[in-house]
Amino acid sequence: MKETKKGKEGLGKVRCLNCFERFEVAPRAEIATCPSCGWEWRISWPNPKLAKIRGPVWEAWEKLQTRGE
Amino acid sequence: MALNRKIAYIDLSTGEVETAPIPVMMRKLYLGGRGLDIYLLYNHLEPGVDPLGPENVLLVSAGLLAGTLASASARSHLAAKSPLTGFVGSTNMGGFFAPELRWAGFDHLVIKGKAESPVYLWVHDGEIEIEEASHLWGEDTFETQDLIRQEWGDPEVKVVCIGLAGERLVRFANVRTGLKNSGGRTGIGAVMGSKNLKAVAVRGTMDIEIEYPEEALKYNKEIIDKICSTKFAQIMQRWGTMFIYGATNSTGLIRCRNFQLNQLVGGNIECEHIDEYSIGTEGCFGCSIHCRHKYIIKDGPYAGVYAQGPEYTSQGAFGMEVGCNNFETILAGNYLVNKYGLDTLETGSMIAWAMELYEKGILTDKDTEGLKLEWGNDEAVLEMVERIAKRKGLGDILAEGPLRAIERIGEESRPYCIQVKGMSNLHSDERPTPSLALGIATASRGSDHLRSRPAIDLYHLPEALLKKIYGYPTPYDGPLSSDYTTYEGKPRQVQWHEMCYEAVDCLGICKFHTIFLSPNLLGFDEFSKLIYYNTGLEISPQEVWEIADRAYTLERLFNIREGLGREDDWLVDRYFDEPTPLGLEIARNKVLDREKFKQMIDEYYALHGWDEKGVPRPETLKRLGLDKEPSHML
Repeated sequence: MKETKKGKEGLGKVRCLNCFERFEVAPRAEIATCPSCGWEWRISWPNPKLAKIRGPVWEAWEKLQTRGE
Repeated sequence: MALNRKIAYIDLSTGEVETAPIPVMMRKLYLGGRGLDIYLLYNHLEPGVDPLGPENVLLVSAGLLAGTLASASARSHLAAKSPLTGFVGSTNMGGFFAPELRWAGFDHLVIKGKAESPVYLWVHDGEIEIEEASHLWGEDTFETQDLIRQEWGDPEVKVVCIGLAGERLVRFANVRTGLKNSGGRTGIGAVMGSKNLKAVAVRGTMDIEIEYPEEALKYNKEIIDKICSTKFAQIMQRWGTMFIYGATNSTGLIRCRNFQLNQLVGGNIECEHIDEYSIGTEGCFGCSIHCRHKYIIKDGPYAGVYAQGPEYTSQGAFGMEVGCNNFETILAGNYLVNKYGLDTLETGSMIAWAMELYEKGILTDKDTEGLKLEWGNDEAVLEMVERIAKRKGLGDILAEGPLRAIERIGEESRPYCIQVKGMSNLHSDERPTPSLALGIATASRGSDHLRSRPAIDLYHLPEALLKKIYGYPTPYDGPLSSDYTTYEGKPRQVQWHEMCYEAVDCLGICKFHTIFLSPNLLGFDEFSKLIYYNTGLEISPQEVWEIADRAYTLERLFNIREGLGREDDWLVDRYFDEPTPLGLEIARNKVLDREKFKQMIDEYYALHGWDEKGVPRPETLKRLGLDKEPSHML
């Protein structure tokens, strides 16, 4: 992984699709909550060091959408 | 040397074959692949001809760097007047065909006329023969390739062919090579079918001499390291383009139920599902990513089927657009369109349109012969693929493509058809993204995401980085915005990506190795060096841009000659009138603003040196050396 000012880019970090803030995901976590905006995301791991947003937690979707309005 | 491949002129009506060298001067003007193809098409095609008549001209080519030490230099290009749009027909695919064509001694095949009965071309080590193919007519795209390889007793023969759809002149029939690769867009498969040309088979053992092999190898290693260090590549290596769905569906940037929704809520068709079916991945020639899965369907009527893919486009075609939430339907749909030789994108879009017409009562059970074209009806969707390929019932109407199908179904169907220039839009919803919307509205081959899509606009990149990317290799001091919902600077982004994608289509390099889905991949500096190390041609980054500009402008001239006007660079009303109902706040309740969209088009034309009607200005033509076209130099 490439070293950047923010540390090791991509190591378990994802960018929230709602607020665009990057946040760290616990290793092997399947669900993570953005600390900045509170949206919940399902997480997958293309490799053990790289996290990716898989999709929303659909059960929380309606509640979050309403809040977004 | 890498520049000594030839051009061949093949007349299927007379059986005559002529070959000629390609002057270096023409390389400096158009490089190869898509660039030289548009030059040949513009010069050899009479305006106004029937795209499915013998007067149409079919180009089959390899990019300039195909088969060299340039990374992912696998791309072949096919061109003709499109039977779908009536404008430039152009399609591009990976695999192993393009390098093999070059090893067989050729870069461009110019195919004219029509054979009396089915034939295929056999291209091998400097020779071209026209072979009888009646025994192949009716075979699917997998069998056709296998049978030709068996005929020559050589598993290394590479084949581009059509399936049933091409034979039956489905206007969005594709061309296929290998198990996975498709030249999907603009109906080139129907052009092949109209010429009774079932396939082009190639086998070559003529080495391509690399100009500076040590430097080329070293530089390619640098490039592979660079590519493989990106997050984009690591995700692509695992799941292919299907990964895009995770972000786009989550945000609300996809077409669902034709164009009624912009999100498949509760969607369960993410790329991660392929892990349950995959038995590994494969790549194209010279590629370090290997983005396509080999998979076996486990259950249902397609149990046991082995295929490759699917791409993000098939997730849309057999998932979101048709309201299906079943990953196996995507796998089966992908298999069927590949077997029959159909453009997956157009097929899915046409079925989704028909489903909305069925929902609204414009199409009835009588029209569908009892097939319930209801959202999420997996069986009905797959049945419609069969009917389109075989031109059966409603399938025969849909096989005509958007504009002709509207004429047959009725004007009341028009507002629901999501197309530009007669070609359906990708399953993405561009209402929240003006840059992506401008790209599909203005793309030279009709609505398309592979001509100019500034996909990195979705990443909210810092403006400083945007200025670095979009301010080079030609200067740009205008605005740029990290916010993908704005209109500022988007015309420059679209223009820049047009030039980038045109350049790699001329070179035969895969777009996934360029600044398409990652800002950290190859750009004009790298293209220039790759050309030099592999061919010895000294072409600066600015000159690469100019070549791309020349080729793109010639595509514009071709379209104008076929009747294109400013009104064709436009989107259907739903983009401007129906707000997006779902998604994250940034994508919800969005429409495009007509006035701002018009201004973007004005700005886009100005950047190109085109007038307010979208016609290249005389000084632009002179600058690009196009003022005397057609020049008939090849």
